[in-house]
Amino acid sequence: MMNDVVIFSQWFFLLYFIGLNVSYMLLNFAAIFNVNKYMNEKTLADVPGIDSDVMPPVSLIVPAYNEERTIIQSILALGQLEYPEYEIIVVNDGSDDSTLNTLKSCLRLRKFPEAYRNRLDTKTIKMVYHSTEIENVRVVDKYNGGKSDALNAGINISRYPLVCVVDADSILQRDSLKRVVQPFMFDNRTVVSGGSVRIVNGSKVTLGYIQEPAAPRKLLPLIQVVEYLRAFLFGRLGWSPLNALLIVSGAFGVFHKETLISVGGYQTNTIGEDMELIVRIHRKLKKEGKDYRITFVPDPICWTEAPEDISSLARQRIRWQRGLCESLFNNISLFMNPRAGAVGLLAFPFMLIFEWAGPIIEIFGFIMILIGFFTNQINPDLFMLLIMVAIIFGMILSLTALLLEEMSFHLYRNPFDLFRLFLAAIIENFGYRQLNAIFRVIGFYKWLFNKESDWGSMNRKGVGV
Amino acid sequence: MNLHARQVFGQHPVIVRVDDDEHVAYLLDYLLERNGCIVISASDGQELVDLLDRAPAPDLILLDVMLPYYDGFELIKRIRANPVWKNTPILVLSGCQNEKDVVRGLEAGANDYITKPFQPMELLARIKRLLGSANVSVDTE
Amino acid sequence: MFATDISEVSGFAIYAGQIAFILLVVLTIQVVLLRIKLIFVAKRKEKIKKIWRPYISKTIYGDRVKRLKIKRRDFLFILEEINYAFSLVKGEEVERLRGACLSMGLHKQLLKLLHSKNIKNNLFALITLGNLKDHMAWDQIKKVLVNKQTVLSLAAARSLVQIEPQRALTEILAITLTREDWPWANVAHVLKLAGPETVCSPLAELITTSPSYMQASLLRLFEVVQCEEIRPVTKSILEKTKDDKTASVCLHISQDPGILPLAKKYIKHDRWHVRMHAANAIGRFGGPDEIPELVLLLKDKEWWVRYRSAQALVSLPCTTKNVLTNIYKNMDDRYGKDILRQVITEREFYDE
Repeated sequence: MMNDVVIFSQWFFLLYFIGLNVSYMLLNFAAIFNVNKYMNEKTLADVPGIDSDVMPPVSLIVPAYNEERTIIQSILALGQLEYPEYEIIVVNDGSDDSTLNTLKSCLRLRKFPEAYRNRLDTKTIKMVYHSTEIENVRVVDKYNGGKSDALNAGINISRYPLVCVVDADSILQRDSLKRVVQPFMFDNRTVVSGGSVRIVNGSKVTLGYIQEPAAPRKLLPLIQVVEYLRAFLFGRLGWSPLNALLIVSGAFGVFHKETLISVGGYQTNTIGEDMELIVRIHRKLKKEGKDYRITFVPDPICWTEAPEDISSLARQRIRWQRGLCESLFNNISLFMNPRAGAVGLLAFPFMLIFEWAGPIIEIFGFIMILIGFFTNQINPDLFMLLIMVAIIFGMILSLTALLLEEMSFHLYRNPFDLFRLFLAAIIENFGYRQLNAIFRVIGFYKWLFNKESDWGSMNRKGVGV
Repeated sequence: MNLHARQVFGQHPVIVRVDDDEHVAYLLDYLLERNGCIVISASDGQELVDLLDRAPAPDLILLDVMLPYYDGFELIKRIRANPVWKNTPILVLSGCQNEKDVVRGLEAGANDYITKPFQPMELLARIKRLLGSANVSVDTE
Repeated sequence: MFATDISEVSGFAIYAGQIAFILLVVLTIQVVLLRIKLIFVAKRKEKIKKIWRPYISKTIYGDRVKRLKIKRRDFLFILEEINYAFSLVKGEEVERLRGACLSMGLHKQLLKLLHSKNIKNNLFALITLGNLKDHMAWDQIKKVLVNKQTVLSLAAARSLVQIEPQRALTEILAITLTREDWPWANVAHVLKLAGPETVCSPLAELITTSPSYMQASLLRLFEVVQCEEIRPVTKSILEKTKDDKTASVCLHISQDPGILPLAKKYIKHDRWHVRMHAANAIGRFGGPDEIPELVLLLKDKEWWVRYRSAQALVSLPCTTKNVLTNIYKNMDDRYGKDILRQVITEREFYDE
């Protein structure tokens, strides 16, 4: 009996393993093909092919909760974006610190009798302010309701047809907005466009401006750089052409406002509000039979700080996994739904098997191999062999991400940085990935038993001024 | 230090050129030097801000709008607030064809405006006019 | 019994492991090779910059230069430098650069590039041929205009316009209605490049003869190019059209005060965007007589209509602060009051 279980689970694990690697390889091929195409077409895009006067106006929404230290710096940086027409809406989500007072004095705010519409339900707005320092900035002061609620309030106040959601602590480049809006001009079916997020740790930042991208010195963020490359370059570049992108980073994404409102805006009782929204947009628009596009822009346009200690990382990953579980199960009707096309038949099952159940299967497989090993069901040689094959495959995935980066943007100019990233791509398979799987299992568990929500605050160093 | 740059460099007009694009910088510097100007270059907003504190005022500032660290509008504000540099003529050279930006630049205190792609002779004529009002002249062949 | 299972599993694992290991090595080599290439390319580019930037600057300003030789492997990088110069400088000075390039024999080499299998090469060729205004390449580029690949066809359109705007426009407008893959923003760019004097009359003709669902986007092109001919066209279309989008665009872009009576008719349209643009048009062309219409629109159920009407009211030449205060006092609708208050404050902001 025990034998059967072990043998069965060996085969199950093996099948899962093959499925995982084959899927990733396919995504890889798609991504390599696309990155080539994208880089070629950029030849034309860099020669001005579009005049700035036809770019649609954009409302930037910056939610702020206890950000007194960084908020002014972020807004000043946003105020210098290279874009013809945009407004910045800062939403103070009932901060306990002096965020509002800082804003009031630095931006010389004045009360403004805004006749806004409550198109999405939010916590009460106390007051809308207009900056007399920077003309296109407005500040919304509201009662605390969480990030989603703040974003919804910002959407209510916004005036332009496109809204761009920006985390207060993300660092953008001058042309970031221009690049991420481009899909809307190239294809009028576009409803969402998201950019590539990179890790800022290790790079020198002056006045909210990346001086030179560099690989982090510390191991943990260094590994996360490789991880982000993997997630953004082939994860999203692979899915985007199939119009089956299920994740657009909450740190920097542009939405067609009417679509956003028609699906009900951000959901307030979810943890991964950014992912949930995208999956819901897919579900609702597929249901209505709409022809739409959710597009990914591979250019590195947004930089964010990665956790440098294990406990912050753990909190972040647990939160992400909970968010992922919620997003998928809130919209489970997409699963294998033939009407939902590539989203329902490919991306959704992929997410469900390899992202939702994946960590559990991995841990389970690992335990089974261990049991097999200790009960002498598996001989030591085979044990080592299996582990090694798994690790080599892991390395291949990480290295492909590095390859894609070298094929496209090669941001890290220093060859030593590349070497360090290469080492990180190897090392992450010994411990980091397994650790991550454990965090994700915890996230899964917390989702399953609906443990109290923990907003996973991170110990930020604060980006240098 | 209320010294004027020309007292340091002699009779040639001194122009501070701020542009982060090497290619544009080369073209501009060549044009300016060819016409007898002395060019002090700054390749980003921070460099100009540093210059403001320690260098004598030049005869003219040729300023790009989209610059790292501080953009052109912010720089104009700072130049106009600087006790030594405040009266230096500013010519903004920028890729923005947006009328709004022109207005914003002039409102902030720029003296003139020219957009890329630019016509070298037109640029030179404008520089001469601005220098003329500051009583300096550019060599003409 | 587990002997068989293990041999099955381990056989497979060894096989997979071998493949994976080879892949891993190949990948590593690939990454290293790419990086080595990158370093060499950067070095070569630096060298090219050192030689070509002075050459280009001197040529542009009419100074004497020694003729340069183009090495084949440097060709694309040199083109990059040349094209960039074209995007920075205009006027007669650029003609010198053009002449110099053509006398270097770029024409032949560019045509070769245009016919290569690599799309990046094709794009480079199209962009450069356009910058050089190479008339002799006209027919070759025209063939690319109908290429199925959107990027290539648009690049071809652009370079044709640079070479000979008038002739290019006939070709482009003839197919623009059938090229649904051409993004509107790119078409706008190409037309703008051709300039209003060449675009406006053929575009006006195209608009009046095109089906009504196409008119709205064509009219918007009209506006981007900033055509003078816009006046008669908008009025005549506005008189006839039944398409709400077209009506909206007409009301939005028209510079003809003669449309005022038509605009007043549209304030009761069932689509809100039409009412909004009607309010906006009344604001631009109206006077004291139009105040009642705008006050009525202040109570519209759509926020945008109320907002634009309030802005229109404030922008009318006759509405002094007193008039506005009176309208505000007599307003019986809460939403109307709110929006009016906002817009009045807005105006105070900008007046300061």
